[in-house]
Amino acid sequence: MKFTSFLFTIGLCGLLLFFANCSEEPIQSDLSNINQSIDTLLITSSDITAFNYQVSPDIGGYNKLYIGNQNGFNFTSSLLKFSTIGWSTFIDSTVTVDSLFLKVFSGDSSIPIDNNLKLYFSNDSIFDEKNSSLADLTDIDFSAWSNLGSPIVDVVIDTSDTVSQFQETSLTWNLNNISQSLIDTTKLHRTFALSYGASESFAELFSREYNSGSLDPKIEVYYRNVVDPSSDSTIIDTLTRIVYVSEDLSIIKNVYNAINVDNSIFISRARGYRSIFNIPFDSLSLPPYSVIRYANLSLYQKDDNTNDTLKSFSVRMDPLKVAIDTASQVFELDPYEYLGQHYSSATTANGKLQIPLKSYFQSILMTDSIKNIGFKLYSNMSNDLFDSLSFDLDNINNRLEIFYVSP
Amino acid sequence: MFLLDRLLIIVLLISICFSQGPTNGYGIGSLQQWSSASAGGNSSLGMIPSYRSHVSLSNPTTWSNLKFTFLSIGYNGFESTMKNNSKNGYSNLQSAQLIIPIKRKHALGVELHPYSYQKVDLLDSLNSELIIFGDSVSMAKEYKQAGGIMAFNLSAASLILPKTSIGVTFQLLFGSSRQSNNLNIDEIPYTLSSRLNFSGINALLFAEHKFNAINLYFKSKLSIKPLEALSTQLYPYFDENKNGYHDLVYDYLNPGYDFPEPNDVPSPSTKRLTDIHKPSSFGVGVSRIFLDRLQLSLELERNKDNSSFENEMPNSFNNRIINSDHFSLGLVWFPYEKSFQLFNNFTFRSGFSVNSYTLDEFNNVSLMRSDDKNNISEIGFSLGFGYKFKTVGNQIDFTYHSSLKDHSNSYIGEELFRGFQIGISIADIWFIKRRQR
Repeated sequence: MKFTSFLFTIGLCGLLLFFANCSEEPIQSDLSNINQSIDTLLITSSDITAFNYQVSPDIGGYNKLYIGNQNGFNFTSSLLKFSTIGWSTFIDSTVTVDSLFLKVFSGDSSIPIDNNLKLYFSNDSIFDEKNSSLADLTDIDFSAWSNLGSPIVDVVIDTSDTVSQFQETSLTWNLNNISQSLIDTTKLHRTFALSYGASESFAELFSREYNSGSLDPKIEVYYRNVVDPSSDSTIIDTLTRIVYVSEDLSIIKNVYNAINVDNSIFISRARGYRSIFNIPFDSLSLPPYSVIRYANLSLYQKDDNTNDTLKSFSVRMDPLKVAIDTASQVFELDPYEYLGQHYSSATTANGKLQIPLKSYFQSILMTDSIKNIGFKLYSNMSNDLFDSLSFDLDNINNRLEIFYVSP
Repeated sequence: MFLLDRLLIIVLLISICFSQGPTNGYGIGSLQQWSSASAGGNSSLGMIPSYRSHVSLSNPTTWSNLKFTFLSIGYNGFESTMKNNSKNGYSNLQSAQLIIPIKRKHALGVELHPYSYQKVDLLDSLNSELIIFGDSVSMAKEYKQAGGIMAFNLSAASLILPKTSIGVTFQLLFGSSRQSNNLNIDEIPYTLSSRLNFSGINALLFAEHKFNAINLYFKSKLSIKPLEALSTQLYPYFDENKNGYHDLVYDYLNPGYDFPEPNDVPSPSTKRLTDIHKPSSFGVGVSRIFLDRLQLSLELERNKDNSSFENEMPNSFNNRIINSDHFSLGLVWFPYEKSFQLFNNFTFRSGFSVNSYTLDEFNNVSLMRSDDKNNISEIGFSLGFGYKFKTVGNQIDFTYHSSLKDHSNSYIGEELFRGFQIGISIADIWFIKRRQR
């Protein structure tokens, strides 16, 4: 038995030694019989068609609030709405409200002190940041609102260093006149409006989307609270409550222009310019089982757009879900429903936009349910509101380059 | 039990190595040559006795010569070295077999063993660089295949005449393999993956006839149900994270997600590929014992694959082996049947083999299969020994073999093939009718 065990151990050691050098190296061979190949497809500018359309611009979700006239854009007013939550504190008989202020902030140090920016108040709902359209809000009549007058303008300077540094400008309105309307918990809405009226002035304020916290539009409530009034010695707390804005937006007066001129494509947030592109590509454009390595649509800006300010204009591409049959080019709401997937975005550089269509075109190759009925290009929310972009459809360098592999 | 425990541990340890050799890429892969260390020891084709006197573990007609039920397990490992090319080591379970002799006249057996090895990793020797839309793009082809076909053998044999035995083995083929056809573009693999699930049935017929001092052996193989495969073709993708799987995993070393995403691709397409392996073979062996213990043997076998071999079968080299001829010469020094001396319980084996393989090739232009000039010739030798222990005749066998394969294919050239095999057989008395007290 001992000898058998010895033999077995020798055998196992032999196996282990043999496989200590166990290696796996690819064998160099001729694989020319494997018919995988790479190829390209080029679609030139003559086959790329597009048209513009205009919608009411998205008025919510900006990180700034605009009031007045700037660069041909007319913002008739900005609206603020405060939540109904939290006001019940001030109904209690032990609480006495001393003063209320509405504060908004700006990064502009040049806002004049004798500012004629007017604040209006209403207990009506007026707007919904997500759902209201521009058409519902362009003709607001402030005569029925409470006019709260002009603000106290205060430029905040950081003096902690030897060099004074501008921080922000605050605009403050006293709300004592409407304190009962604010505190009254039976009122469901607390809506404010900022407007210059017919004045040519302009102000840019921080909205609630700008950052979280201190620079949001807010109402500061200063009040006293009597602690335990039944006792002989009355204790009074002096307190402050801050209520931040829950919804805000700016109302822009839209200008409808002739937009399909000079075979140019316009994209603008504030104007609501968008475009639909059609490129001849379907499931048979590439061999079966092809996988696209890249598919880049290159569009060139018009010469007058290649300035420094547009170095990083971000454009989003969304494939269309259904085709619509309309001759109209101006819409209140965007009628071109998008797929919600296979979207992409790109940023202009050196007067050129190169936007990837790889995911969209690959899905057309693979899935029968997705047809190429075009895609829309529009401005990303990250762009400056006042920037716009135009492409020259006649530019012969416009092209779609597809690099793919097929089995 | 002690030995089995050890063997199991070693099998688990060594199983981390996988097989790879160029013939694994031909047709359905490289067919297993030996299913036991004893047969490998004298380069036997499985007909003539090699395990012990008058017994071959691969020939059911010889099993009736065993006195006890045997459980035999074998493990083997190989190393393939190609000149100016690659060196690969691999190992796997060689066989697990149960043999039940009945009244020294009949025998039954079951066996599980690999039928063919398909593990292969090929890299195109011709890399190219192209200009695509003004950018330089590098391109390299790669073919990876793993898995293989297993065989489950059900055997029976009987002594029909005092000097003649016949036996039959039904060989149930099953298993799967995975193929990965890569085109590396700027080192990002475009991967076309597929799976093959095999099924088929072969029958092996054996006969043994004692003619004076010479024993004659015959073996024939035919296909009852030609091998077929359910081919599952997956949608190709760019393996951006280079992990070999179509997934949504982000890897910081290889940034990017696989494209298209796994959730977006269509379902795999399946197709049944029939008649991909339909073997027929005929072999004859002759052995004679000298000096009571020394056996000299000679075996010849001719194999043919009669299948049409559908062109849609993934095939890296575009070749398959359609004919093969085998010749082997063996010399075995058997132990005494009963001896308490250590040296008398040893078996010593040696063998010499010559094999030739004929390939055919699929012509991409004519879409026909034609004879290929890239044939393979192989010459090899083997050495081995075994030790019989305990009264029931347990046995442990070791074999080393080496061969030189000459591939006419200029890319592969000469391949030095070395192997080591170990087998252990445990005997026990089964099916004994106890006397009533």
